[in-house]
This record gives sequence, C-alpha cells and structure tokens, in this order.
Amino acid sequence: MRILYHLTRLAGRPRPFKGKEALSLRDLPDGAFGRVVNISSPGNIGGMSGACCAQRLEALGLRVGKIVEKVSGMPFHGPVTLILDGRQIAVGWNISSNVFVVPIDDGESSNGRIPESN
Amino acid sequence: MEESRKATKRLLLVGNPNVGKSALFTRITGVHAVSSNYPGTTVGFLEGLYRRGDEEWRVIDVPGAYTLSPTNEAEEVAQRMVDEGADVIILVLDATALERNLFLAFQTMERRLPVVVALNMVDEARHKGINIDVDELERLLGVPVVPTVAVTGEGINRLLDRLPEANPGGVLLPDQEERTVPGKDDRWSAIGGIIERVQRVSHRHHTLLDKLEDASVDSFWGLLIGLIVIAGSFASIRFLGEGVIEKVLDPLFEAWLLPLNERVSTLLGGEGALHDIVVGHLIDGSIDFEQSLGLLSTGLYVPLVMVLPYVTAFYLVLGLLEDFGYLPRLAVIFDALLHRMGLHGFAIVPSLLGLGCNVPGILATRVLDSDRERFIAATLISVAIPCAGLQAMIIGTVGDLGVEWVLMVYATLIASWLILGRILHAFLPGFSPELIVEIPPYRIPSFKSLGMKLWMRVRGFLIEAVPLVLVGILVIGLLETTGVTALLSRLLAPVFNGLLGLPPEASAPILLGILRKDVAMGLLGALGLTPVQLIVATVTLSMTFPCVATFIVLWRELGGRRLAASMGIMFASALAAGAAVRLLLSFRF
Repeated sequence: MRILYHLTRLAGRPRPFKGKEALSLRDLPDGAFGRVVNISSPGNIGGMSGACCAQRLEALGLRVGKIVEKVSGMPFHGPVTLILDGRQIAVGWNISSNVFVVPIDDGESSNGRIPESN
Repeated sequence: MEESRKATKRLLLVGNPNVGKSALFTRITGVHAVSSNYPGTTVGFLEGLYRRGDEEWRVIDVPGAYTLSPTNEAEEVAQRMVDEGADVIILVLDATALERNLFLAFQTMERRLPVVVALNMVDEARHKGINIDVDELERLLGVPVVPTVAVTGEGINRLLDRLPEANPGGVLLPDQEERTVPGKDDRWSAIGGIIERVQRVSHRHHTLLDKLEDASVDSFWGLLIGLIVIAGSFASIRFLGEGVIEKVLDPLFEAWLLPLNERVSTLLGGEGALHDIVVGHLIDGSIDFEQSLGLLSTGLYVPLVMVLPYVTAFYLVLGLLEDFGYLPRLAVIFDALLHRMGLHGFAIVPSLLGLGCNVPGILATRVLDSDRERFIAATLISVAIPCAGLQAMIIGTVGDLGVEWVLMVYATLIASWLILGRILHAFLPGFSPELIVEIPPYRIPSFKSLGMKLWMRVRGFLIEAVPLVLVGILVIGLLETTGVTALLSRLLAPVFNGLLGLPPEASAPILLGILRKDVAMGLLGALGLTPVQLIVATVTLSMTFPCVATFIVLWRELGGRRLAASMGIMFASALAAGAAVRLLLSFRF
C-alpha cells in the first residue's frame, strides 16, 4: 500500500506546510517551500571548511533570502535535492543540516517553476 | 609565406559548468570537442584555432566554474587562466539561470579585460517562459550581449562579428551616473537590480519533463527509476551486442574470413611455427575463431566480432544517458552508498565509464575533488570494474556454463568493489568532501552530437584495441613456441595451484591479461577448466593486473608511489577474492 501513497504523492500538489520556526533543509518536508534565513558555518561541514562550503553554495546561488523548494531527501543520510531559481541542486546530508529555512506558503514563491494556481 | 602575420590573439570562453561552452567552442574552432550534459567534462581544457581575415585567435575552453574564488580544482584552473589575461573573453551565460551566471560574470568583469557576452540557450529559456530583454542587459552591462543557441549554431556568427566591440564594460546601476563593477559585498544587490529590469518569468505549467526530473531524485521513485534505468541499460546492451554478433558479424566472418584463413592455412602447409602464428592451431583439423589463436583468425575475431558490438552498444546507451542528463541524478541516488566508501555520488560517473573501458573511467576521476577520493575511485575502477571487452568475453565464455555462473562473477566483483571501498575509506587518512552539485535539466539529446560522440569513442577503441589484440596474440604465440609459457607456469604453480586451485597452465593467460584482458579471457576459455576453476580464474583475471593502457593512465594520474600502493592493493584483493570464491564454491561443488 506504500506504493499507493507514493503514487498520490507524485501526482498530487505539494502538501501545504506552514510554520514560523526556522528548520534545517534536512527537516523541511518534501514538496515544501522555504526562505533561507541562515547558512551556518561551523568549523567543518561535509568534509570542507565551513567558509569554503558557504562560498560554494553562494556561487550556486544558494544564499540568505532565496526561496527554495525541497524536492526530496534520499534515505540513509543521502543528499537533499532542492529547486532554486528553476534549477535542481543537490547537497550532501550534513550540508543540508546547516542550511536553515523558514517554511512559507508556496503561493509566495518566486521560484522559477511557478506552481499552478487554480 | 606571409611576412608579418599578426601575433596570435588569446580568446577565452568563460562560464559556469554545463552552459554550452564546449558546444560553442566546437562551433567557433571546428575542432570536435566532446560536449555532454554533465558538469565538469571539461576539466583539463580544450584549445583550438579560429581565423578571421588575417587575424588568428587561440581559443581556449576554460573549465566550467561557478566562481573565480576557487572552491575546487577546475575553478582554480579557470581562475589562473583568466588571470593570465586575454585579448577577448567570451562570457557564456545560461539564459535559463541568468541570476546565478551573473555572479561569475561580475567576478570576471572585475579583471577589467575586454568582454563579450554570449547569452546561450535562449531557446530553452523561451520554453521555460523566461523572457530576457537583451538590449537592456547590454545597456546595463556596457558590453555586447548576443543571444545564442550553441548546439544549433544560432547567433554564433553575430557573436563573432561583435568581437571587435569587446570592452571591459561596467554596470550602470539605476540610481548611478557612472559605470562600476560591483565588488564582493554589493554583487548580489547589483545582480538583483539587473534581473529585476531585464528578466520576466511568465506563468508556466509543470511539464512532463519537470515531473520526471523531480521523480528521478525522489527517495522512492528515484530509486525505482534508477533500478529500471540500470537494468534496462544492461538488457539493451546485451540485446544489441548479442543481436549484432549473431545476426550480422558471425555470419559475415564465417563467409569471408574463414575461407581466407583456410586458403592461407593450405598455403602455409597446415602446420609449423609460422602457420601457428598467422592462422593458429587447427582445432580438430579446422580453424576455430575463438581458440586457434592466430593473427588472422582469433586476432581479428575477438576485437571485431566478440567485443566491438558490446563496446558500441555500451557507448550508445551511455551517450544517451549522458546527453539526456540522467547521470547527475544517478549521482544523487548513489551518494549515500558511495559516501560510505569515502566517495561522493559523482564517483558513479567515472565508475560507469570504467564499465566501457577503464582508461576513460580513471581519467574521469579528475572530476572528484580530493586526492583521496581520486585514489579510492581509480583503485576501485581498476580492481573491480570489468571493461566492456572483458565483460563481452566473460559473457561469451562463462555464459556457456549458464547465466548463474555469470551472475556469480558479477556478484563477486560487486562485493569486492563494496568491501574494498569500505576498507580504503576506513584506513586512508583524510576525509572526503560532501556533494554539492547542480543538476542540469533533462534535455532531448541531439542525434548528431550523440552520433559524433559514439563515433569518437568507438574509433578510439578500434585504434587502441585492435593493434594490442594482435600484439597480444603474437606475444602469446612467441611465448608458447619459445617455452617461456611452460617456465612461467612452473614458477607460479604454487600460488595458482595451492591458493586458487587452478592448473599451472592458467597462470599464463592471467599474466597475459596485462596486454588485453579480453584475449586473456578467451585463452582461459580454451583451457578446459572445470566450472569452479573457470570462475576462480575469471575473478582473479578481472581483478589483477590492469591492462597496459590502464596501467599507464593510473601511473600518470596517481604518480609512482600511489601507483605502487594501488597495485599492491590490487594483487592482494585479487588473490583474496579468488581464494574466497574457491572456498565458498567448495561447499557446494
């Protein structure tokens, strides 16, 4: 029956998810939108120095203030995929734990892929 | 000869990975660069010439970079090349991701070199409902901006016509009088201002490809799709390869090459050293393409009939996946697994390439970020990833025993790959960085570029493999006639017989694997081994001694010391795996 759940999930609209608390990309549910509020740079994330990692994310366009849609998180601490400006970006699990977002209503999104509005 | 030819000018193509730089390069220089839908293919760089009137330009395809404050090796190379200066820089910007691309553009413009902007993939941007006001962008940046579609050639001539207008430019911000290039701190606000003025995104529904893109990296559907793609790829390679062999090449060789061999055989008197080298031994009085081991018989049959169809089919399927843009998704799917082997998901791409031929696979480990990852990935490829030639022969030889025996070989290789990866990760010092990767959108591949890439790869195989197979067969013939084979067999007998349970004759083919593993596999098949012996010998042959071409690239990529380490690991794991398989099978047979 799990397959039915996955089928409906794929076909259906993203589940609305609203909250005020910031949470990490890792914890954001699939299909939810969030505005990046903080990219923390601890001494070492994902085998890179925090500063280097943040620099790399910035060069890919992931920075504070951007709106992202989380597509998925792979099981077994796999990477998190998100959509940023209409492009998919995947980041490792540890990195995703250090990017914090505030969930927003998908209607507010200025994402490249604009959700259908009915 | 002209006397005072103008000095060659330097033209750099700078841009993010996967924005069509390589395609643009090919359009400008006419040199066929391999362009594919995968970020990082142009590590290292391509260079070509472009003539315009009496001017000569040296065109350099700078490795794709997201930033000139380098975060990896490719970006370091890019930064160095830009800092070395240029007469003109063509900034290749992706119209579908202008905002992010402008970041690199501003960093480049900070260098105050003459710049022209190629706004590439405008067709795709239109499809996505992204509308860019090119004139306004040109006015704001102060440099020529030309919309292009590199894959079709649209706009390339206009771009080249405007090279003389190249200038350092500068951004004209709405509330400012003078052009400036925004520095580190106000880069993004300037970019925001420009995007607001030049880009309109219109309402658009999700397309089927969008849905497929999301499903491909989904935690459930992604794995399912990955499984289907991998299984489907192998099935179609098998189907195509086998079909071509059975329906086309086998009958063709029977009809043409067999009579030729027979005539030469009669001409040479049916026996003797020369006869054995040219035509090979007669098996039961006639020529057997697989076992005779002559230059004209086995030497042509193995590379052209048994191996070439599989190699071609493999590269066809790989090229499709590459150009469609599936491989980065596979990286996402495999990341969690590979992370436990000290690699990140990207390493799946070199590993897949290795299934065609280990040489390009090992070269592709350059896309990985650290020396540690490159060492792990390259060692794993050369130990546990069988190339298409070897696989074709494994299927051809072991396959005679039944599918379950072939699966046993594959299972052993996969297990070795996993176990060895885990061991290397645990014992090598250092750490491996995590995945940060942009995943390009799915694109319908162009048949022309697919065909061109396929041809280049198949031609590479023909040029490299056929002569080596012939040399291999020649060496085998010579060693046999001079008695060296017998001597080697005696010397290695303790290891082969004691540890692996193989007859002494099996040592010669395994040693000859260093020339070509596919030929060596054919030799093993001709020895009349028991099924268990054949499996043990196949596993040992697959894992030990890289073929000479692989050895050379390993050397070049790793350097002498780490090559020695890699070889040590290789021998140890080959013997361990061979002995383990023998032990496991001894319980059942």
